[in-house]
Amino acid sequence: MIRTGAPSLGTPRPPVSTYHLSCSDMDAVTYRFSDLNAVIERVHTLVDHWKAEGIFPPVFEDDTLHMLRLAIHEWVANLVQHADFQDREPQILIDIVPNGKSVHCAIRDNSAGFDLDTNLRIRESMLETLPERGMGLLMIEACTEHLSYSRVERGWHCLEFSVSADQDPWLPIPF
Amino acid sequence: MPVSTMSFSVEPVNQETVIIRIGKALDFRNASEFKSACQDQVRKGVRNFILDFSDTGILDSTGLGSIFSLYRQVSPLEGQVVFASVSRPVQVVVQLTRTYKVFRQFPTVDAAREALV
Repeated sequence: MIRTGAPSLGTPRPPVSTYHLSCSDMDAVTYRFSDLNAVIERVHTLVDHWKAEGIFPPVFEDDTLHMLRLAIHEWVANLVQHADFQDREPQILIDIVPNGKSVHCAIRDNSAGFDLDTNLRIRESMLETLPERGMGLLMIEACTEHLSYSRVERGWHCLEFSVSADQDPWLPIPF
Repeated sequence: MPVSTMSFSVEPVNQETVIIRIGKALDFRNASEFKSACQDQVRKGVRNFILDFSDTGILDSTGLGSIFSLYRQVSPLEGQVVFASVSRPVQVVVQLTRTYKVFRQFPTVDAAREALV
C-alpha cells in the first residue's frame, strides 16, 4: 500500500482515462472509463488487442505475456487504489515497445507520485509469512527488469520496465 | 446445490469440503468478497477448500493474499486449501511466488475431490 487514507474499493472515484499509443501505426486511441472495474478490464482488453495485433516478438511466449500482463495489472491496480491524483482528473497512459527478446513498457500517470525504491525496500523488509498485503510492488519488481518510477515532466510520473523472454522470476515469499 | 455469489460459486462436497469456482478473476476488486464467502463456509464447519481455477485469467497479489488468509484460517483446524485445474495465468503467479510449496495442485477438480474426501 502506497498511501494512507486511500479510498476503499467501494468509494466512487473520478473517471480514469487510459490512452493507448499503438506501436504499429502510432495512432493514439483514447479510452475513457467511469468506474474501477472498467479501468482494469480495459487494460486487459488492451493486452489482448496487442497480442491479436502480433505486436509481441515471436520468442515472447504466453507465460512471458502473462508476466507483462501481471506487471501492468498490479501497477494500474495500485494507481487506482492508492495514487493521489489531488484535484486533477486521473489519467494513465500506457505505451509498449517490443525490442528483440523483450518488451519495454512505460506507464505514465498524473498522480503526485511516490518514491518506488524506498517503498520496495520497506515492503521487502516487512513482508510477513504468507502475507495478505504488500506483495503487488514486489511482484512487479520480480517479473520485470530495469524498473524505475520517476517524474518525467510537470505533473507527470512514469513507470518504466522491460519484460524479457529469458526471465525466470522468483518472488521469495516467506512460508 | 451450488450457491453463486457475484464472482464465485460455492459447491458443497460434504460437511467439511467445498469447491469454490473462482471464475474469471480473483483480484483487488473481489478479494474481499472471496474472503467473506470463505469465512461464511468456515463458520459452517467447512475445513477443506478446493479452488477451481479453470476459467481464471487474473490472479493478482491481493487475490493471492486472500488465499493466504484462508490458509491461515483453516490450517490450525487441520484443514486444507488446494488448487485444481490451474490455468496458465494463475500458474505463472504460482511459479513466481513458489506457492506450489504451500498449496497442493491437482489437474482436475475431480482429482482434488478424490484426494480430500
